[in-house]
Amino acid sequence: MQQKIITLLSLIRSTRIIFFLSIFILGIQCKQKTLPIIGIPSEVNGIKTYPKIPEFSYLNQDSQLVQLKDLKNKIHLACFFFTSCPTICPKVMRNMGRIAEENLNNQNIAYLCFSLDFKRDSISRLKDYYSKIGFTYSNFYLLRGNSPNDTKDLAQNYLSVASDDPEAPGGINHSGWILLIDKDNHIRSYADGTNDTEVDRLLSDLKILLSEMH
Amino acid sequence: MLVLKKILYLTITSVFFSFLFQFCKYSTENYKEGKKLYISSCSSCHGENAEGLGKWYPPINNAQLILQNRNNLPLWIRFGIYSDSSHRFKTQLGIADMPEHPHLNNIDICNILNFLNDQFWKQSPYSIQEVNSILKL
Repeated sequence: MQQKIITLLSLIRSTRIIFFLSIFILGIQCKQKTLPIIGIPSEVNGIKTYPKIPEFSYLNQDSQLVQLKDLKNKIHLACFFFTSCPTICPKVMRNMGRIAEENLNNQNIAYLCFSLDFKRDSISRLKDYYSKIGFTYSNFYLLRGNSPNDTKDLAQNYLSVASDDPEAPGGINHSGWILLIDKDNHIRSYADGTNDTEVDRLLSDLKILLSEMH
Repeated sequence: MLVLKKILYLTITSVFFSFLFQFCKYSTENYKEGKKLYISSCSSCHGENAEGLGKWYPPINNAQLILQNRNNLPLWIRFGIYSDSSHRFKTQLGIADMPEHPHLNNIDICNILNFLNDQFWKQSPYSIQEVNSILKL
């Protein structure tokens, strides 16, 4: 009889442990994840400030001015490309389209694709390219810089490299990142735009960032 | 006597199966190689399922392509297609230029085409002799 009670007690105790353990695990899982701010902060008087994307004003494929300050309260995704790129850009562009497709009707997101080819990518060519790749998303902009090199300089703020290189396919050497920028213009995540699994991860990071906004 | 028969039977079946296995391996390996090359050299523009992207990067999963251009496809891959008229093959205006692929040899091109044919076009495959004779033109 006594033995039975003891086993019963230990059973209750162990179930109790499992119960609390599961609550604990659930609690960890439910805890809101946040994305880090990417970049090396500068520290003045003990206050850390993280690098931000600097102001710019470029024309898009519809000849409309797009300024960073107009994207207030919007998250944006950015990539660097050019229309005659024979290597990674089509793949990056396809993945930008996939992100836009999965977030249709979400007016809180803008998509910026900066052209690195000032010479060949005129506004009309960007417009032609945009319609011929079949994109019809809102807030999806192909942007042309104001001088041959300003977009290449801007790319550095997006942790991307871009330079003219006659040896490179298409004449421009550049990285294929897709970057996720929050409404305060901080970089919060990025992915290799040619890698579908990395872009899947970026999509889940985007969800986390969107939930931060509410 | 019975043991001898058994051994004979076993060797015959094993030789038969190894032949069969090698044959299978040979043909699928070819498409595997073609797939690998397709992914590394073509899929960025034409997509992993050859679906393309709009009109700019045309889809190549349609059998019309091989039916109308059987003798052009190896040349297009090797030399590219450009809107610039100084090139050998001219594209319609308003479509992306297709880059040349001088690093792909005749066997590579044959493998890529047969991979696409096996997956999408379902026509008679290219032989290496056919690709050789087209590219010698």
